[in-house]
Amino acid sequence: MRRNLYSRPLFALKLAVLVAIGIVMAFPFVWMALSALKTKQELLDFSVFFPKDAQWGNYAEVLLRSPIPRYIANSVFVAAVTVAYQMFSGALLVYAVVFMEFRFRRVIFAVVLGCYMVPGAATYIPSYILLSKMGLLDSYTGLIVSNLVSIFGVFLLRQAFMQVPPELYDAARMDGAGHWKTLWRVIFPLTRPMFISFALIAFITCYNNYMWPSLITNSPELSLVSQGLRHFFIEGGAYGTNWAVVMAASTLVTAPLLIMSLLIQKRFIAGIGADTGVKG
Amino acid sequence: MSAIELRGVTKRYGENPPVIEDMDLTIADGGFTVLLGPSGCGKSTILRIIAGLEPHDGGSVRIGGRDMDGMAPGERGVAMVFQNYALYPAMTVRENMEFGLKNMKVPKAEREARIAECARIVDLEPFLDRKPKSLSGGQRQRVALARAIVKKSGVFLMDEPLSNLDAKLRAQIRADLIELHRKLGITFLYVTHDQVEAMSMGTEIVLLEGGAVRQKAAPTELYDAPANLFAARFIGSPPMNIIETDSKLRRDTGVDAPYIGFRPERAWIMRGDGTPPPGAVSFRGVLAARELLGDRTVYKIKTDAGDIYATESSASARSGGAGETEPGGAALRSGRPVEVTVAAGRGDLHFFDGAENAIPPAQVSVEVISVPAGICS
Ligand SMILES: Nc1ncnc2c1ncn2[C@@H]1O[C@H](COP(=O)(O)OP(=O)(O)OP(=O)(O)O)[C@@H](O)[C@H]1O
Ligand SMILES: [Mg+2]
Repeated sequence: MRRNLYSRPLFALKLAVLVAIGIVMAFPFVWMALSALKTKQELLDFSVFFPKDAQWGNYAEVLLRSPIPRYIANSVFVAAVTVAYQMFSGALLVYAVVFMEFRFRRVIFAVVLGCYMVPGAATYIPSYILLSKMGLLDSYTGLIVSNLVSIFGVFLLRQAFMQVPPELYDAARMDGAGHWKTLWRVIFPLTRPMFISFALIAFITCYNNYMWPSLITNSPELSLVSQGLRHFFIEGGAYGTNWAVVMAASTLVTAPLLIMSLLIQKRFIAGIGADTGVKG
Repeated sequence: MSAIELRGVTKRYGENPPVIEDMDLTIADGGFTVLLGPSGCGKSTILRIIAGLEPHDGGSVRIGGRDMDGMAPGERGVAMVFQNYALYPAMTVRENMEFGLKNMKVPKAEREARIAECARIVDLEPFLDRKPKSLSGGQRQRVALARAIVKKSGVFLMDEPLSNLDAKLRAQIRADLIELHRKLGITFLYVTHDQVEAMSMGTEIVLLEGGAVRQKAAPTELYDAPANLFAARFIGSPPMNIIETDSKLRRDTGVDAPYIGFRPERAWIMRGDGTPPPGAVSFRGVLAARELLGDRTVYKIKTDAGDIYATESSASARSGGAGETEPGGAALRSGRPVEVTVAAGRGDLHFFDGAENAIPPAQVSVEVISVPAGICS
């Protein structure tokens, strides 16, 4: 009785708060997607929310006659390669630090995590000089190489690896499995949810990245979405901007992230399941 | 072919004093050896050193005559069952068993034959394609056994493999393990802190304390002739009565040893100051507690020499066999002190010297044997 009396209003309140936050979060996106269907006049008129006559041509124009799809493809490519390698390098480093015994492993890990505290902007100039000496400026190789390791990822994966009972590592060693096999056949299946969470976060970060890519790439055909969108934005000059088309471009740019999130939302942050294969 | 020899093995963790120091130990080939000892005495550490999971700081480990120095765990011809089973959760039972075989490059046909055979031995045939998560504790336990058996190694290491099971299942798997050992005929090395497991399964028990071997003997010998006070106190339930002899007690009993001991199940217990059988050492005291265990009854008797336990089997209690029996269910409940005499025959006495080591009974003079008077108030 008491439970019902108190928990129902509380539940309703929680729901109301969540719905309100949801609306606030979603509104700009909905508005953006709808604006892309409006005419120039409708768009600048605040009294119009839904377009009278959906202007699908705005989307068609972006898809068929602008470099936006190319930028999206560029970004997806760079992000995918970067994230794949970040997971790989993170897994190797974290495996060694968590499971293997060697001198200075704590020191090494502390140094790696310490790098997390260095602000990204402070690394721009040294990294730029390095890349230029290696002749990797204005190339995807340079862009990817400069992001091969994600310390955030190392941190996340370490949390997951530390949940794995050390006996599993011992059992694999008794079974004669090498480190490579132990990592991918025994540890990885257990920590997969964290890999997926990390992949999603890293992909979004990479995809949205603006500053560093725009510093090291110059050629317009190498532009990533955020730079590309900016080019597109300023193309028509301050007054000539066709805002509806810009909105269509922006909407399309978010599409890959949206699709990816939908595909893996179930596994996202699932954490390590209750079952780790051992008792007690 | 797979005796295990430790020579001068030392192990320390970090800068701490060594957990194991200069240990010499030989585990017989084909035996069922149990490492027994209280928590923290280094049992798991020894097992892990033998398995190669833990490096040691000095000495040598040989298995089947081969020096294991620098050999990886997978190369030692050793299989291990972990306390928490450590099954690979993402693999089916079959894959769990197959993983090690694949790493050993066993051909597919033989892998399948071996898995089928082991699944039959441990009764897992219906579960081969299930994941560990969908099995009960006992079934997981059997998967852990099967995963070790399937490798056909000469040595089988087990670290408290039964501690996660309930009492009934434990008893059953104890019997299964004995049978398995007979069937496989390989060297079993089993770690436990449970003396019942050790006594019931082991062909040999290595009793450890603080990283040192206190006694290494067959279960019966460990029980009948404990080599020191630690062994005497560790084995048996309740443990052996140990009485530190002061000068008065020595005079009264005529026993010339710093400690005497006798097992509760060998003690006689008599109402009042009944006459102990000829040739016994006796103590008078007051009954303090009585514990009915079904097959036997344990009495706790307060005497001047300390608390003494005496056990009587229910059979003899009913038939009035050993002395005057059932001294005091009703009386104990009524709260009146019940005076009793506990006694132990000459042949049932154990003697220990000042260094807590056993003295052979023949070397102890016991002059006046029956002294019922004056020991107890
Ligand atoms: N990784 C470690 N680092 C530091 N000390 C350790 C480590 N592992 C074990 N020890 C110490 O070594 C001693 C022996 O440990 P071990 O695990 O061998 O005991 P055990 O006999 O197996 O005990 P239990 O019956 O509780 O399992 C203990 O005092 C323990 O604190
Ligand atoms: Mg242990």
